[in-house]
Amino acid sequence: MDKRLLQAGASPETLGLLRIVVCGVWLLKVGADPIGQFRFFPTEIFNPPGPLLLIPDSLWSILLSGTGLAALKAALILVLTLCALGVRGFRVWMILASVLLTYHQGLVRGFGFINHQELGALFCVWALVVFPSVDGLAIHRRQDARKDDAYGVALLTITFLMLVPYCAIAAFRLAFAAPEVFVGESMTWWLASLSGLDPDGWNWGREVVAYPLGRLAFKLGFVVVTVMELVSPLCLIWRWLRPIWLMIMMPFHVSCLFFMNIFFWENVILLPFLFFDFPALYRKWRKRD
Amino acid sequence: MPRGVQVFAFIMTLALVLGHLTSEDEKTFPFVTWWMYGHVMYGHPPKHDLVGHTAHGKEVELVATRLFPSLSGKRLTSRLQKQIGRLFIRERPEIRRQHELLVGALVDVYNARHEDPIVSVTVKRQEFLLKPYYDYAPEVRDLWTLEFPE
Repeated sequence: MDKRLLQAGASPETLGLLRIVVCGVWLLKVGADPIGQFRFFPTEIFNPPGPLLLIPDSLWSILLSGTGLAALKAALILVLTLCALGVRGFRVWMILASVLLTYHQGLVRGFGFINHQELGALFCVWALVVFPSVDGLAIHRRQDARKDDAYGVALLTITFLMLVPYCAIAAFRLAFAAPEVFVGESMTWWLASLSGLDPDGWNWGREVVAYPLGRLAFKLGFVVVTVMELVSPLCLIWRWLRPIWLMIMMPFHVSCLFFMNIFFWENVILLPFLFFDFPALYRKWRKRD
Repeated sequence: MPRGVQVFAFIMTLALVLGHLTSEDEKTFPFVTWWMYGHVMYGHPPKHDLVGHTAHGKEVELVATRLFPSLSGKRLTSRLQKQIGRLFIRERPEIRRQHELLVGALVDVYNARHEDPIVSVTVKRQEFLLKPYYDYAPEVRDLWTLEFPE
């Protein structure tokens, strides 16, 4: 693999660490989400999306019962823990985790609306099935590391799947809404609207639009973020772009929480582990000591 | 690169691109259109609130994120806001029915936790005025009231 490419020469530990972080993010998400509350909703308001359309209607009364939802949560917690630990039969557990998580994400969207918040993290789980993600930092790991930079290829592919949506978002915006979306009042509209959506959330968006300088700063920031989103896939090949991209996109994600009550915390956690080889940095640091 | 990895990368890329282009999220999930901040917004952004009236005559806020304090909670809020926004523009029986069922579910959860049950819910609308005010409009409109007899 070309040395300039992202994560070239990555070790089994780098991919193993990503496996633990991805499973950890999902454990946090599934564990904190009282999905059992969906039993209070009438099934008539449930619109199963995508692969969930294949499930026969007669099964939904069981799947959406208190027992069905509790079983899903328990199964996910168990399977994700086994995947994080890297136990024997890892691939089977990871396939099961992929299927159950896709189903879980379909459920929450079937009762709510279809957005893309966790989809990058979901694709990471799917990818971990295909790659040798249990060769490092696992209970049942392979003794001899693979050749041909299998771990670098894995991390490169997973990062690509995480970054393509950023690029797609910018492309959509530029194709369908530019230049009006940048020069008009759209950003002010979103700041005011989204910060008023949750009465217990952050309302800084509503506050900042009262100031001309605040509105200008967000309009300019919107242009900068769109440029960064558009060039996202170049992070895979341009080393110098990676820190700049992270330095702009991480504060962007965090500011979305305070000003719009939207927080893609999964991406904030996952992206640094995709961009940097932390086990290699740790080994370097240990050597220096 | 192993053949399996190549096939996986190709299928995923193709699915991501096709899902993005088809704009049929309900059918293509989890390959969806990535449209965030991709539409020009006009007018004044509205804020819709659900105010419950209890059997003892109290007024309470009915907030989906409080009743469902989960990571999925905001999706319910967004769905409610969309339903109200659409019904505000034009009456659509199918959306009305779904809206009543969703509000009814929120009322059921509220009533299961409180001794003084909600018997009706009024949907209120307040606009945030953009240029040149940048503040909420003083008037709050009552859009409709849904009854939930005990």
